[in-house]
Amino acid sequence: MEIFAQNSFINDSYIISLVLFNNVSNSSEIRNMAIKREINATLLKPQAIVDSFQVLLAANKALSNYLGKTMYTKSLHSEIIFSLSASRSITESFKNFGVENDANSILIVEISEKDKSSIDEICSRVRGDPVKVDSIGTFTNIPVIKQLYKIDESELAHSNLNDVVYSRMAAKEFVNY
Amino acid sequence: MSESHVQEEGFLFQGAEARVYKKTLYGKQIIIKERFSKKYRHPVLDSHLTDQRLKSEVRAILKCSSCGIKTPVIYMVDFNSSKIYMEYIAESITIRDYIENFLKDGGNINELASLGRQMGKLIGSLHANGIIHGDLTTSNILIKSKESGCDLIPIDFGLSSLGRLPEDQGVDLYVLERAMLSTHLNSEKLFEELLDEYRLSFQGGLEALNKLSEVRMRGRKRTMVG
Repeated sequence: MEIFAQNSFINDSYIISLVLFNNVSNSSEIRNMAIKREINATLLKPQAIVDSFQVLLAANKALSNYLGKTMYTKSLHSEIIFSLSASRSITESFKNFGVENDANSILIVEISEKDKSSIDEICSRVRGDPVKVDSIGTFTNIPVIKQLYKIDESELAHSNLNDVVYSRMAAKEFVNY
Repeated sequence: MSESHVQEEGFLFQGAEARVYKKTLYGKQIIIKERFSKKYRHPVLDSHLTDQRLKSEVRAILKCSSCGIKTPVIYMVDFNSSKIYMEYIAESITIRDYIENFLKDGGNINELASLGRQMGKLIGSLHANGIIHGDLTTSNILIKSKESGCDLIPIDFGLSSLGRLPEDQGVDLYVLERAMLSTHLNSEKLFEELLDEYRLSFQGGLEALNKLSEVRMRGRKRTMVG
């Protein structure tokens, strides 16, 4: 199993771990564990993700809000989902980026202090095939991305999709799309 | 299992309002612009102003990019530390350095007419789209060559505002004129080329130029009489 782990650039003593699963057969079980906080991680819909950078930006933003006590949501891990979304509605963010009960693939994101990661244990609960996080692009659903981030075809004439996604996330608190 | 992709901070420069760093973040070269607090201001007012300016800077940059004007990609806005994380424009130099290098290599400033026209077109399209840069100088526009010709990329929207008032457009041009004439010797003709192209580039161009001559007479600040 490949764990894609990176230091946070907000605070060096935190680490962000990503694991991608395909052919998952117990999504609803995993989802319930996350809701009950039995596992401390965020479960994302890979179809709504363009690359790992997008997720790392959201995770860092969430960590900054967590450490600065300026979170919009109730937990660090739900704040990641909120930060990913271009919408300021928490419900909508979860609907758009969270996994559904019948999901076939899941991107797991964990933020933890260094040496306190429980990503191995979390992953051991998932019945599915771990795949390289680098392959996230093969899951990306571009029409869905364009719709979620309200990206117009004309914008893509002069900038690339990923860059538009990053800036949509960055400015969502104060720019309306 | 973790790999540190955050390199040591590289300090680039400091202005009156912010410090600028260059960093490599998860394999991408980025610029961090950090606004610092002003100790002479009341803390509550200070943090409010800082947040507002972060927002207005990002709004202007995003407005540009949605209008097809190339600007740095915004990666993240962190209000907790008053930082904007944005794209580092690789292989670019400021127009100021470009002109200076050109002159150093024995060029004549009047040979740069096409650069002047391209600048006029850029500023015209900023104004046409309701963006007032607020601090136009040859240091605040980057030039990056591409397959055919070059891209001009405006940066530092820290003093920008959104609006279409000919007055503001005139002041924007006036600030650039003063900056150019004082930075680059004999750049009068270059600036004229710029204005010629500017006038043609959008509908309100002529009106803004009329305001410019008004502003030249009285200076940047409006006269407060009556």
